[in-house]
Amino acid sequence: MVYDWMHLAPHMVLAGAGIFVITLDLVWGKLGRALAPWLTIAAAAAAGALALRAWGPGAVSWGGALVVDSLYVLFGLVFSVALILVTLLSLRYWPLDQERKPEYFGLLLLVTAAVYFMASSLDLILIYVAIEFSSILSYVLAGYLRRNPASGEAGLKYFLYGASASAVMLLGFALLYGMTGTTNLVGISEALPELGRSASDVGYITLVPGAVEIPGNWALFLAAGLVLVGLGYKISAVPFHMWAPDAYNGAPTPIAAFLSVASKASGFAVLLRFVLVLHPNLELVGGAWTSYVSVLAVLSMVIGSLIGIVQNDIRRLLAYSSIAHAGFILLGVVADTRLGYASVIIYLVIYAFMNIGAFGLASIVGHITGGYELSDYSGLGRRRPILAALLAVFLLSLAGIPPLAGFFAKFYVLAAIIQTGHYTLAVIAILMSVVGLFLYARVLKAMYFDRPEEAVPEVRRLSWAGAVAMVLCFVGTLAPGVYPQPLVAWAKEAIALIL
Amino acid sequence: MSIIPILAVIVQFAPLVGFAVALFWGKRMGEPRASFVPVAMMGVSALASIPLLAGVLSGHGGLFTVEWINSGAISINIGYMLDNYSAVMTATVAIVAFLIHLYSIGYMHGDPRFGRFFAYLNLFAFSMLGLVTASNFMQLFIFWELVGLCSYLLIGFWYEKKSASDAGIKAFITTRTGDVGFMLGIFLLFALTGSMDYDKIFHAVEGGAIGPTLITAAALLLFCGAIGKSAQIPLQVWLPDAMEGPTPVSALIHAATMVCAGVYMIARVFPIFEAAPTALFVVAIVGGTTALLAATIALVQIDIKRVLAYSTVSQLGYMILALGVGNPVAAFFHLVTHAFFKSLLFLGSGSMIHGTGTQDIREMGGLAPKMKTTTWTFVVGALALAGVPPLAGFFSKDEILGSVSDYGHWWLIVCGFLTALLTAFYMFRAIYISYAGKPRTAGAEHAHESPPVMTIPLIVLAVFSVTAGWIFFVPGGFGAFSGLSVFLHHEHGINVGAMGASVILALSGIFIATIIYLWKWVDNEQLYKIFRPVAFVLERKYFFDDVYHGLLVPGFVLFSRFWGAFDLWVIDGIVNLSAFMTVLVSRFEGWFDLAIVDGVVNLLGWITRTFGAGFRKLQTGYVQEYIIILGVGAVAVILAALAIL
Repeated sequence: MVYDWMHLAPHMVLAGAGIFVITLDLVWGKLGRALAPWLTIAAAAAAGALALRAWGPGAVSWGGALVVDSLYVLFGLVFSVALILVTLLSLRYWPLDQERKPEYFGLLLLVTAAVYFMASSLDLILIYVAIEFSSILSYVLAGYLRRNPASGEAGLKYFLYGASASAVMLLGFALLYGMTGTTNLVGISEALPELGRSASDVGYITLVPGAVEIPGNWALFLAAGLVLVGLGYKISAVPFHMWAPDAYNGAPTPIAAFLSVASKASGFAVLLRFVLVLHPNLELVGGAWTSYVSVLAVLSMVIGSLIGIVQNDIRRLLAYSSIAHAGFILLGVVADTRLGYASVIIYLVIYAFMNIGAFGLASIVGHITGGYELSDYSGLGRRRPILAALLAVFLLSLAGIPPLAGFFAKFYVLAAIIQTGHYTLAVIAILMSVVGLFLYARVLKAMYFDRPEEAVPEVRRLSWAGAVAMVLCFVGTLAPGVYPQPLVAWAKEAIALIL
Repeated sequence: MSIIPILAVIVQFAPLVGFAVALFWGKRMGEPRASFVPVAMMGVSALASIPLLAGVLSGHGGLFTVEWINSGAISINIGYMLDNYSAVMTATVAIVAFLIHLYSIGYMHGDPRFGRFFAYLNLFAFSMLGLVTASNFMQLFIFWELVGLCSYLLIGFWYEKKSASDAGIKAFITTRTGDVGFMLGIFLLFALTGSMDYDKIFHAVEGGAIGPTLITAAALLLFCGAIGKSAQIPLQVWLPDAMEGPTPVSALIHAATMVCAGVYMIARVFPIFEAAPTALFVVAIVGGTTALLAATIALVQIDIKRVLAYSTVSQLGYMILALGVGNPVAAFFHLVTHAFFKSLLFLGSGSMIHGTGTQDIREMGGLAPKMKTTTWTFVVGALALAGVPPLAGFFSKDEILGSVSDYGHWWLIVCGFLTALLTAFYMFRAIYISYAGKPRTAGAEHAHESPPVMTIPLIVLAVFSVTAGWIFFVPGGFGAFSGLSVFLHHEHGINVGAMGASVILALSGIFIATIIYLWKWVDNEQLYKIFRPVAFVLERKYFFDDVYHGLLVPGFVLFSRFWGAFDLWVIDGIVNLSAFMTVLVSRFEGWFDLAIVDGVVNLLGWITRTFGAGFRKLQTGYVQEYIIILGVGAVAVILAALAIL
């Protein structure tokens, strides 16, 4: 048994800083309040830098519960970047001024610690605890604006939904444990071949109107389905997406940005961990895994894109857009090849920048004008040309217009599934990327072509911290589009090291 | 390192510099200083394109690439493919773009977004030059989308006008519809050959590595992109509406260059189409039909720019037709000559609009003596378009009609020759109504000639419109000049029959227009009455827009609204049903149900009291719905996964 504290260093930096920041307010008062965001950014950067040391094929410690490898490093960097950007966005976001701010940053740090754990755990118990830890803190953050009933509503809905989903997932974990006698993913993977053989006599279940034969063990099939419910909720894939539009709508908008990126990425981290560890024996689930994931992917792309079109609140619109993106990312998992998994990582990194960019601008415009309706965006192109141009870049990137990075994200996912011959999925994905364009075009139309019916007053000033965050997002959205090679090489190396 | 790729970089990137300057400093510099850098940069580009063309024609062209992405399975190079074909196109685009930049200084005079306009024009020129010189499908697609983006920005440039912003959105959506097919085609070729590079794909196609069905599918999918971009039936609807943009934009983007991208693309990747005769036949039918239908619609247009717009659709149909009958040389030849005379006609119409303040030809009349330069250059452009020898359009149109005759399909012959007649007719109809007779409105009465910065480009383009066709007399003809003649398997000699027929048709078209509109031997009103049903169909543009707006758009909106509603209300029904069932079951269960139901009610009451009125939504039980959907969804996903296993 190895207990390597260095492997836990990023997690402990984040958690320690979180607790420290929460107490700052009490101990140092005004000075503490001023220091909190900077400590948050410093801790996020330190955690990312410490995580970088773990680049490699993977070192297991802490009784086999913890693994640090290149996959974890890339996810950790996404989490750290998201935390830094969201902290900058939150710095002057006006609804937060009425709340206790150090506590808010402390909670953000703790959520980040939790998602770091999600990306690095190898044991069902640790995975479950990390998911719960991150979820519960997210509920609190979504409902953080105590004076705003919508925020409370968001937090409560998110909580009720999340609790149900994780209960279902726990059932799946229990089934896995019951069948294999271990909670360790590596152990489960080793036990799978035995299960696959011994179960041949219960190889089918009877459904009305006929019998469907499942090669392999149907309990395993069921367990996989139940686990996917929990992960589907984390990544907000249809039909486990219902919480997202309400939560993003009511939560403080920087938190919506964080949830739509870091929380979603953490779900994908666990999903990738499952499939990569179980990979050698994955086919024993009998192709069930691929069909599960492709069902979720298709539903998410179709429903997310279609419902998004009729939304009038930019946060709800972006929520449905993020649901559709979850579908696109899942395609990389369907491919089940090195290129496929690399494309998931490429997509998530690019998505982090462009989506925080889009949500960040929703937050900035909301801060300036106090409104989130599309009508608040009419004429933005004239009133605030730079903000409008930035938002246009993020939206066009989300829509996958070359040469912005979003195009390459979609390109790699599509290349991966075309390589494996999933042509139907590729056609659906391309069609939905066009439908998605309508969704973003509505915002563009409002900004550049619509005239505001009455003058939209600017009630607050643009904060420089928000502007810095947007510039960073802009660079992150442009650079991988112009020169994707480093990111691609990195993602491929990360997968090659472990698969 | 040879000088050729450096020249190509200068040609392409000079406008990008202009774009950046105009974008960031345009507003501060004001008019006319904001136009200096963009126009100068475009001039640099046009100047550099001439030695580039000369260098490539003298055999120094080739493939210049650098590695961009290399990651095992996927490796993409970027760079320039500079052969005769792309060099000719580059020079055409750069020169026409420069003249239109120059003209815009006069035309956009007094516009509040003067600098922004030049920024967009520069960005467009950069993108179009990138598209033309691309060496692979990835690069082609990126610039393909970028020129599209510039097109939408410029169509909606006067976004205060609702019709302009609607037209921008329409162009965006319509062309993207075609791009779906284009993207699928590119991915299909990528899946089949593992490469995006033209030369590698051509190699695979020529080596017979791809089966006939798949190559036909790929060619047809690529053609979808051309249908959208080059405004062919059934996606032609966006181009006439695109005339809402400023006239120089109509000339540059929606006549001379961008809309030809579809034609250019097919000729560029012609080896793929050559391997798919079925696809080529579809291309020919679509092109021929578009040529004829658009020409008939142009007969009844009263807006000078719309006459030219339908004419453009029709001429693009000609080019597509030429590709379909297997003569990319003729298509490209016509593309180049058309670029000159159609931009001349558009700039001429811009001068008319500038002088009279209207686009309606019925409100003009008697312009000829007041706008001498505009008049004679416009007539030169119209004669070139009609195909009267020895002007440019004659040579290129004759090449097309010759190939169509050789191809021998009756419908294509009808389309080709009838369109020639109609083209001459509608152009001279417009000329007589607007330039001849007496001024019909005050605007026409006070019409004035445009400033020299606008008329000089007209004169230069008129010279090109006369002479561009004479390349025909170069040994080997335009085919050898463009380097495309490698695709011609038998020599297309001069088809004397077709040539004679096309000249006779053009002259008859002009003659009929003269009888009706100049000499007025036939009463125009009477004629209109007789042909009213036909005119109605033409004025409704064959009902394409009505069908799209009446059926497709509402259907689509309904569909997404339905799903939105499904999320909110249909599920509500399920929830109510299940709630009802719960109550029913609880009735049977004595004390137990009391505790549960009471408990839930009390809990809800507690939540209500605690969180106040803002929670109205919650009280109606939405979260319960969500969680029920979670359960139903889980079961449904498991069943669906089972079903597709």
